[in-house]
Formats: sequence, C-alpha cells, structure tokens
Amino acid sequence: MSISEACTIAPTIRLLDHDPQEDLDTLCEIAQQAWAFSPLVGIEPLDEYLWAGRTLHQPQSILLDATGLANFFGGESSMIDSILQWLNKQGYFGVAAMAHNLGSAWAIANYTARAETAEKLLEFWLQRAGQQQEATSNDSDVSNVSIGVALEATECESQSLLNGLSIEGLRIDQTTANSLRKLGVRTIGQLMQLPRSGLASRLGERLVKRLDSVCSNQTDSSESIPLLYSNPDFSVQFSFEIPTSCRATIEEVIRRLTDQLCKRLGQQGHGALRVASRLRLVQENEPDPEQTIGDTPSSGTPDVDTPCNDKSSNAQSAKEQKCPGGHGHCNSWLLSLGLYRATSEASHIVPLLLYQLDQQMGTRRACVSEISLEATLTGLLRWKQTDLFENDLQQHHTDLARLLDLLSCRVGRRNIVGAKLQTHPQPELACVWRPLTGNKKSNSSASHRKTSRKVDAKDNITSSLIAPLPSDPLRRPTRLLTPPQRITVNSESGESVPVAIVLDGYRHRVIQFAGPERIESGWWQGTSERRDYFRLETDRGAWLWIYRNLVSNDWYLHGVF
Amino acid sequence: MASTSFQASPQMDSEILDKKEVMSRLFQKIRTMETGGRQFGELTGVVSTGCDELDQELPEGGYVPGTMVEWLEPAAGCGGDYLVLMAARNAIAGGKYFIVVDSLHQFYPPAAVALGLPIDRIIVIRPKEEADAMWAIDQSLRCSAVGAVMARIDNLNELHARRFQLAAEAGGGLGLFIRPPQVRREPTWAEIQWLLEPPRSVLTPMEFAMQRASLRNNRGQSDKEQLFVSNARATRCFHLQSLRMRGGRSGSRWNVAVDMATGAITAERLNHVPSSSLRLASELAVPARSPASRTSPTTQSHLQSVRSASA
Repeated sequence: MSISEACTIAPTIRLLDHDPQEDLDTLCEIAQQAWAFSPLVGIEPLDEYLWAGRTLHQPQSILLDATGLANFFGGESSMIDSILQWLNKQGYFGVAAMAHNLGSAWAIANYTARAETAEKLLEFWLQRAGQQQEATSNDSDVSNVSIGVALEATECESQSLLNGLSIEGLRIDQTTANSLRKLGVRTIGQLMQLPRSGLASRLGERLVKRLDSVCSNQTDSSESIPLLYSNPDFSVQFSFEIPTSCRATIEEVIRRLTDQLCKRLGQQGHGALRVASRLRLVQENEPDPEQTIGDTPSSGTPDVDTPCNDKSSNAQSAKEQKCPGGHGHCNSWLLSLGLYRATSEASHIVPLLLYQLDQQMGTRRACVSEISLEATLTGLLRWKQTDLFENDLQQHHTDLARLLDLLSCRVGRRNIVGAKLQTHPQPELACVWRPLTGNKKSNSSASHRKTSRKVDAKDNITSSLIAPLPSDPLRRPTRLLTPPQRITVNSESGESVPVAIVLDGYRHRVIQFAGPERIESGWWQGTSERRDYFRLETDRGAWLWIYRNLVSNDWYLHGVF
Repeated sequence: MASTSFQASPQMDSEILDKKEVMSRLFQKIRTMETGGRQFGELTGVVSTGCDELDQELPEGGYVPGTMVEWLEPAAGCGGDYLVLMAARNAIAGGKYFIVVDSLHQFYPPAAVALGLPIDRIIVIRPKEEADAMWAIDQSLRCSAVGAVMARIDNLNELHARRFQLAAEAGGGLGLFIRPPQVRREPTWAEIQWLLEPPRSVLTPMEFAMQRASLRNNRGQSDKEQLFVSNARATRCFHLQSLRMRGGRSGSRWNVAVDMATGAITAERLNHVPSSSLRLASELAVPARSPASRTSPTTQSHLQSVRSASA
C-alpha cells in the first residue's frame, strides 16, 4: 500500500528508508534457518529485468524442495502450517504455497488471493502494533489473527488454480505483459490456449519456457532450485560415520574444515567476510550430571572417527531414535561469523568459531552427525608489501580488525556499528548505522541526497538574532532518545517557550532557553514532520533538547546535552 | 634570654635551596609511589582534558594513557558527555579509535563530529546484557588501536574495575566512564574522579519572568513569525570538583564554562585547596626571613642551635 494509506491506518508508524542489503541479509538468514524443513533451500533467482507486477528488483521469496518430506511433518498441510508458525515466531507474516513444480508454487504463492493476503497482513501488523488488542475483548479473538496464508495444490488442482492467475505469475518482463494485455490475454489459462509456436516467434522463447515451468503435464521441468550455498568452492563438510558428542572431536573437525576452507580461499585470492558453520544434530539430550561436555577421551590425540561414547544413550539407538517432533533430524546449530576484513587465516577464524560453539553448547550435549563450513560472503584479499619500519596506522587497523571480529562473535554482528551522516532535517534520520563486520567495503561513495528544504533569503530571517547553524558545537545533543519521550510542559499563555517541564514525575524549572529551531521534513519524504526545537537548561543543571510537534501540539524530550 | 635578630647569609641561602631541592625530590618520590612506580614528568602522550586550566591542575598535565577517568554526573545532561568527548577527541589524535559502549542506543554521533571527532573512527557497541557490556569494555581497553572507551556504568564491582585497570594499562587507552553520584563513597580504581554539579548562581523565578517579559516586549514582530529568542548565556557553566587525583591534590573546585559558539572550555578555580602535610613540612624546613616577633623564642633558639650545629 502507499505511504499515505499506511499513515491513515496507523498514524504512529515509523517510516524508514528501504535498505535492500539488509533485506537480502535477513532473507538469507531466514533461508539458512529454513534448512530445518528441507535440505534443499534456495532464494528465488532474479532475471536481468524487473518482473511485471514487482516494484523491487531483489529476491523476496525462499524456495524449498519438499519432495518426500511431507510425511515427516504429518502431511503437506501440516508442513505448511509448521513453516508459517516458525515464521510467525520470528515476527514475520508468510505466504506459503506447495505445488508439484517450482513455477506453479511461485505463481500460486505470489498471485493467489492477493486481496485476502493483504487483509491478513494488515491484521497481523495491527495486532503486533497493539491496536487490535483494543478492539478485541477476549483472548480468543486475538488468537484468530492470521499468522500467514497457506496455499496447497495437488497436481490436478494447481492447473485449475493457475488458469485463473494473472500473467505476472509467469515472471515475465513488463513489456511482454503489456503486449499480452493488448492482445486481450490477462490470465495464464488464456495464454495456455494460444499456440506455442506463435508465442515463441512473437514474444520470445523465455515466455514459452516460463509457461512450460508451470504446466502440469511437463514432468521434466528444467527449472530447479538454485541452492543457497551457491559457491561450492568455498564450502566444505564432514559427515561422521557414527554421530559423536565428543567435544574435542567436534572441535578438531572444525579446525580441519577451517584449514581446508582457508586453503581454498587463499588459492583463489579470496578472504572470508562471513563464515557459517552448521552442525546437524541427531538428538539433543538434557545435561548429564555425571558427565560434562568438556570431557575428553583418555587417548592423547582425539580421533575424528571416535564414536559417541555417551553413557546415557547408545550411539546406534541415537540414529534410530526419532525426535519428538517426528523429524529425522530435528535440530541443527548454526555458527555464524562476521569479519571486519577479508581473511584467509585459519588461526584467526578457528578461535572465533570455537567461541561460538562454546556459547551454543554450554552444558548441553548432543550428537553431531555432520559439520559443514562455508564462506557465505567473500572479498578479495589485498596484499601489500610490508614496510621496513612498521607503520602505526597499519598496526592499528590490524588490531582493530581482530577486536571487532571478537566483539561481533559475542555481541552479534548487528550490534557493532559505525555511523554515517546524512543530510536530513530530521535529527533521527541524520545518522544511519551500519554493521562494521561481514560487509564488503564499497569503494564508490554514494552521493548524499540533499533533502533539506531550500531556504529562501526572503524567509524568516527578520530578527536581529541569527539562529546558529546545525554544525555548531553544542547545537546537537550528545544523546538522542529513540523514540522521543513525551513530556508535560507548563508555559505562560501565548508563549511558546515552556516555563517548566515535568519529566519522570519531577518538575524541572526552566532557567535558560534558546529557540525555536524549526525542523520540517519535505512532503516527498513521507509523513510530514513539523517541529519546533528548544534547548533548555533546568534548575537541576540538565541541558535538554525538547520539541513541540506542530501537528499534534505535543511536547517531547528528544535529546540530552 | 635576650632575643637576637635574624640575618640571612649566603651559606644559609644555599642551605635553603638545598632543602628546597630535597623537598622537591621527596615530593616526586611520594608521587611516584602513589602512581605505582610511574616516573613523574617523564611521560609522553599525555591526553589533554580540553581545558588548559584543568590540564595544569593534573599531576602529569593531562590524562595519563592507560588509566581510567570517572565523571560523577548527578543527572543526564549535566555536561559529562561533553567533557568525555573532548578528552576522547584528544586521545584518538594519533590515528586511534574511539569506542562507545552504548547499551541504551542513545549515542548521537553528529554532536561528536561537531566537536572534531572523525566519524570513521567512532565505533559503537550495543550489547544487550550487562555482562556483555563489561566484557566489551575490557576487550576494547585491551586493544592498542583504541584510544578511548566511553561508557556509562552504574554498578561496577571491584573485579571488573581491576580488570579494566589492567586492560587499560595493557592497551594504553583511556577508560572514560560516566557514573552516578551515589558511588562517591565507594572506592574507585580510577586515576582521576570528577564530580559534576550544576552552577549555584541561577536566575530566580522573578528574574526569569522579567527576562521573558523583556524579550516579549522587544519583539515588535508579528506573532506568526517564529523568532529565534534566547536568554541563554554565551557559555554553558557547571561546577567540577576533583574527588580523586592520584599523584596530585584533590578537592579543588572549578567553575567550567563552555563557549556555546566555539565549544572551547575555560575553567576558573573556586576554592583554595587545603594545605597538605607536605606543604607544611616545606614551610618548616625553610624558615621565614622575618623579625623575631614572628617566631616564638623557643623556635628561634632551636633554629640557632641547628645552624650552629651545621656550621
């Protein structure tokens, strides 16, 4: 929906700039976790052109190969419901469709019941925003809010379903879609009735291939899921003949895999920026008080093929046992690293992986059947001749890289951020945060869009007092509250400057003030913000930055100096 | 006993100078012991506070790299952040990095950039747990590429404080911490501890009302026009008291003024630091060249006997 429509429905929403990289990163993270439902997971492959019906040229769907897996979930419907519940637990609203081939499933998921999907999505977001709780009177109504849309079609049903879908479901370009609409062809069913030879000659082979991908009578579809692990050169794995829970064995395997991976990276001149290691578990047991996870076998060097020597469970029975959820492999652990600089040094990556393994395992014990390791994002290694005398700046950079890698390992990649300033009138949008690790460094600097309103010389500069510039020291607070805290102010009648403010239950008398500094956002930037900012000193010695929203006439505390 | 007048002699002058030198060396030795073996006056890379007057007050002429500095702030917005940023700006001048451990997600970089900190050398860590925050501070202080670490710490036990001290010594950076005033009575591992206080002289409500009335009358413009009005002084003032100063004398109180236009800091001492035992000892070692009326007969005869013995 449009911004204006969204603002009408939920006036308190926050508008943020779209970040395609963050969207892609999040999609990849979800796709990696979707491995719990299928071993073959991928992200929808894009063509060089923007698909008709889409506004963004970036992946928005996750593809899973569910061949032969529905029985483990109790049927296809149960499998789809499990996926939707899993997405909902992470705070997402999903649309899941299952069909006999990739093209049909994609078309059904994206173009079936779009109106219904939009309504359910709106309900979902309103419920999350808390607005629906006021409308409902009991818990049962809240639980009826949809968490997603589930669509399922057998081979016979999918054909009838596809016949009514829009032609945009074939992932064609806008030019071809316009041509078809001119010919009066609006649905896939209408398109199928046309002779194929004519389609190929007039509208191209690509349309025919896409039509073949959704046809039910085409059993040998040439389209397959592009797996998420798209670069096998930087992926290694090891499968245990007998699953093991020996900590030393697992660590040794990780070390050897890391050595192999780093060797491959170095041979191709690449360094890892993101590393992901997945440990497939067979069974996850409760902590055994008699045996801790840190126990090492009595022999000196741990053998990689050491069988599971768990006293509480038999290794053989562990393979045969089924997990409570009815799955063959019920769980997996994911160790992910984000690195500040591309590196191919195993000595740098191994300690970080083992640290994360320690955090994951803790006192739990589990049998690991397979360990895979992949560099999900790589960058070119930069080689530089060393100087005769060590440069302090280079050494600082090296030390900082190691520090940031270690910090991101524990705190999380997204919690180690750097700032980038933008020219934006709204203070909260004047600064953008970016994770420092796990990103490729871009050489090209993006030009800053000048979003500030042009100030006419004939405008409000009529007073003898000239307002200071935003770049003056002490013009902006050192701390900015997100979101701004609503406060109560006491002001004299007809005066815009408060005499006192009530903050956290205490009354603060205003001693000094400076303002207003009017900040307005442009109409093209979404919700219009019109604020008058004041810099106050209170009788308690605090310097505060407050503003009055000129639309709602409410006062807010936005910053502290 | 007849009193005799005291007259200075060249021999006595040289004795006085020798004793002064001896006292000075003793003072330096005491300071070296207090600062854990650090040789006084031989340090390089001392970090300026941003204010010349405060620098002169500090034993080494600034903050010593590899130490911790604490500011006790009674409430948010009393000036602690500004002083920290000024110190950090000087600490990272050699190409080092400034790390902010910001659990509340409130740090706002434009203010730091306006004060002169380069945006590409500001790194913000946002830990969710307190244990992660403490660990992040420790690791950051330990890194030699970090010039300063800023954090707001409410509770700091001795274990973490000692770890921070060792980490700062290993890394050579500055730990700049803002803490609540309640920890004033607790022992601290910081090299220097400041207490921030709001200025005592403020406008009374009557003065404030009169000032606002004056501004209202002097407008002479349409009410629809938003004029930038201000009754603020050209400087931002607050009081700063040194609670702890390792190797120096604490207890001094300053009136710190920050120029709102340039950001420059000036400080004016408000009190005289109470005399310490060292100063009294130096005064006793160097008798005043005054007539006998200033000293008691007992003291005079004692001094005469000391001089005659040394001769």
